[in-house]
Amino acid sequence: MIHTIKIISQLAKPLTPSQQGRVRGGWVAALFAFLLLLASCNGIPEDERLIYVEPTAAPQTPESTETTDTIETPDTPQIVQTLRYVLIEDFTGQRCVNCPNAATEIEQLKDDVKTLLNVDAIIAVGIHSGPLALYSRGNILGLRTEEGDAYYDHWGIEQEPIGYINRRGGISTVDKWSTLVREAIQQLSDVHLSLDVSSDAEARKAEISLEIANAAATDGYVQLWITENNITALQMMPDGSANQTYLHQHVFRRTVNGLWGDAYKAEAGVRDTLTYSCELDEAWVLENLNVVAFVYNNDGVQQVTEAKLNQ
Amino acid sequence: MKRVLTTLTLLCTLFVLHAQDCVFQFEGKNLDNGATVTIYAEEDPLFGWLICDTNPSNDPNGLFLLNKTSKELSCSATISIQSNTLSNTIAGDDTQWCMGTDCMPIKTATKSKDFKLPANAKIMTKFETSPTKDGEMLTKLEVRTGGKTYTVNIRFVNGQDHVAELTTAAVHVVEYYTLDGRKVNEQPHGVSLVKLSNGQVRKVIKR
Repeated sequence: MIHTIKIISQLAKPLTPSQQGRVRGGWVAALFAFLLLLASCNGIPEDERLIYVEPTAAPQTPESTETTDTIETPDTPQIVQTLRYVLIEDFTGQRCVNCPNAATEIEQLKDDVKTLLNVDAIIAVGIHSGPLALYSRGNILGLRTEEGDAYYDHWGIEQEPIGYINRRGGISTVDKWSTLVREAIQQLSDVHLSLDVSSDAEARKAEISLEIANAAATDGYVQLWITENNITALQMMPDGSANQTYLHQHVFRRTVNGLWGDAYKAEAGVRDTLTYSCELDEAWVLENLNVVAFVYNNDGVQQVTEAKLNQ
Repeated sequence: MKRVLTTLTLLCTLFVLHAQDCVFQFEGKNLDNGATVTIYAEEDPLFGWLICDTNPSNDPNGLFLLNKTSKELSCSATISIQSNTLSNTIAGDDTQWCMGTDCMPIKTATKSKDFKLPANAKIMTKFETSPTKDGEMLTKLEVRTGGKTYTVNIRFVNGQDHVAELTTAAVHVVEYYTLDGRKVNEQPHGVSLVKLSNGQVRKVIKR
């Protein structure tokens, strides 16, 4: 036991600046210690234990919003707290030479957390926005959107790359993301999200069903976005060069239910299913589309999940 | 003996004061503190619009800040647009400044940022704008670190060059072109394009 504690204490050394954004010993140790704490809750009644339940994804669309089946379910299994997934909103632009560094950092964070928890608990969205982003023009495929610009303006962004980590702690520069993710991933959530998505390739439509299970009372908003992976398009690089075959990941394409989503309120123990349908642009590759769904309020993102569109 | 010591102390003081932790570099050469670099508008090969850029995408030797020490430096930088006739606004159009870990769209005359300059490293100091008319933009960039200030002045020019200003003993005119791309034997009156022996193409005027 002493040996174990020693190892943990060695792993948990504070990070030096040069270690930030890399595989972090302290990172691993903090989460490892956290999991050990969870695993050592002997004597707690079974119905009060914290049980990890992996959130799953369900589909939804923008034009029609319909709430169905608000059912109080005393006979169904108790809803317990679960791991809180982490939403990274990465404000970025194709003209921004430093922005690829943020994409690299996101991939590193995703790998670190996946290695540790064996789940894809980091959900990133690249919001191309502001003057450093590009609209399509001539031969240039631009990834900027008016909705992305609306978020950019709303948050008063003055530089890129910059982002929110679960919309907590203010908007932050990339060098702070690893610390914020480390803090965020150690929190539990009272909200379970489960997405079910299907699409009609002919009609270019997605049908999305989002199940929300509330371990405690929830008061906030439900937001759904469409993102796209593997888009080959121009990106200015950190060395000043132009990479015309840069592979853009998790690019924000559109909202499903408006800029700020739908108001959502539920009592503890309640399960809801929300359904949406959403039109999909002809230029988007269906196989590469994802739906991102999250519940947020003034305390930040309470839970987030993601599902591939073409399941 | 006292005189010698005084002289040595004075020399050491001067040496310490003169010691520079950082230096701006342009086109691979160190710049004197407070130097001015002049950059002419060119058509951006990617976007097709006119651009003045300290670090164009097709040129790896633009404007950089070099940390000459073996320690990381905490820097505070300010960019100030002193004057601008390239656009109808003081900050110009599509103006951005990239230094440190981020890029900033510039919409006001002055912007500041803090960043870390890694040991023995040089970082790109990218400043660009898209001229909408002929004129000049004069900008001062100051970086403060370790109690010292390092300054470079950036002069963007669009469409008002004279051939005599562009040519030197090492750089001469290779070809003249009209604005619609027709090659001509000598510089026409009015605005035309000139190709220089250093590979650059400039818009020039002859009155």
